[in-house]
Amino acid sequence: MPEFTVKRWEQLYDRAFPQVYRAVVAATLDRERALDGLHDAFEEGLRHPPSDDRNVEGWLYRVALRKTRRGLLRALREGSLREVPADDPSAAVLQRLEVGRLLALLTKRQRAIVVAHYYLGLSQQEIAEAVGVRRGTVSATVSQSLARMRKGEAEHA
Amino acid sequence: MRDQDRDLVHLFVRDLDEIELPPRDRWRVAARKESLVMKASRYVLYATAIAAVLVVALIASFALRAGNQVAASPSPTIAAVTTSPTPTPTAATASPTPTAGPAGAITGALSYPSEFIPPLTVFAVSVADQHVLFSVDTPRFGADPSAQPTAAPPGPRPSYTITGVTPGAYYVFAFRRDTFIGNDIPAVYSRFVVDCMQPYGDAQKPIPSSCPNDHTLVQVIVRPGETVSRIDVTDWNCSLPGSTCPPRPR
Repeated sequence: MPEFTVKRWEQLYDRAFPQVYRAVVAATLDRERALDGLHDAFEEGLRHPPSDDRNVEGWLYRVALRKTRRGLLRALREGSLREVPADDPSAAVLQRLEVGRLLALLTKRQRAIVVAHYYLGLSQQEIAEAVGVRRGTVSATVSQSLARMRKGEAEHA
Repeated sequence: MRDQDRDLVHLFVRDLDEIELPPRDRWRVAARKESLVMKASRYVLYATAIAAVLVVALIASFALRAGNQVAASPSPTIAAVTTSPTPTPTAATASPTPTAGPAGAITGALSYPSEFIPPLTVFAVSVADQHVLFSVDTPRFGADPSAQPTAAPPGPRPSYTITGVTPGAYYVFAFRRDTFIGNDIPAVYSRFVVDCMQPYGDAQKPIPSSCPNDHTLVQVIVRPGETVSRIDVTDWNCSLPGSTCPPRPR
């Protein structure tokens, strides 16, 4: 990795942001929390930059998801968890899209794994690290999610 | 990659890319502004660090100043404090000058017009040459000076001992070491101590009003190898009209 500088990290982050943001939104179905998670990941990167800039997307996705999850847990503890508003543009887009309908059939973890697999193109090992599960679980979860989405698609048709 | 997977990838990319991105200026969080509490905490931390450094420096300076002082508890039950002397010899011309021979010692009681005794430096200054002097630092004895006076400190009277004193004639007096208004007035071993305080001066024998108010310093003769005792530095009234206090040795 070239010498780490704030400027360099900003460039890497900006380049990865669009894809990772959309992935985190799809996984969490919460635009604001996804953005908060990415902000935290950006700061984390300033303090402890990733060791390899070839997969900044994977690193950001993992850290942002972790931060988002912590934010959710904190909100639950503090009783400040808010519902995603019905007019949330992301939610609306997802509902309108075919992928959105499919993702709504899955659990949070399944969504996180499926999005990382099909959208970010992360390897099973990278997904396992990002979501905090074993590599075998990733493979099994993708299969289960696929089956569930197929079934949902068939019912929808 | 299987066709089915490829289709799903295509579907995900096509659909998720439609999710609107936030404005560019919201992609990154601005450097977090320091809250007032954090700012105040930071200043408190700085102040604490500076205070700690000052305290350490103060302690170090006191330790250096104390020289060879033996550590002693400031409890009133501790009676004697003995330290090595700090002689400052110069050429002596008049008699009785400090002379060669086995060193002697001077010992006596200390007092202070309160229920405690502040930290003192007791000096034995040569009568012939004020540059020849020996001294000892004593700790604080007794209760907190801010406490209401109740009774005299229990136990034996606080005392001092100056050892290693070159034989000769000396005046003995003590100055406060701490910062206090009026700490340039010393306690002295005076005629009043010898004639009034030592024969009387206790509960059974109060000092008679007829006792002469003479606060002139009394010479203490130190002979080779001997300890001169009962040199009580207990007269704090040398500043009364008609009397003269010795200056603080430099």
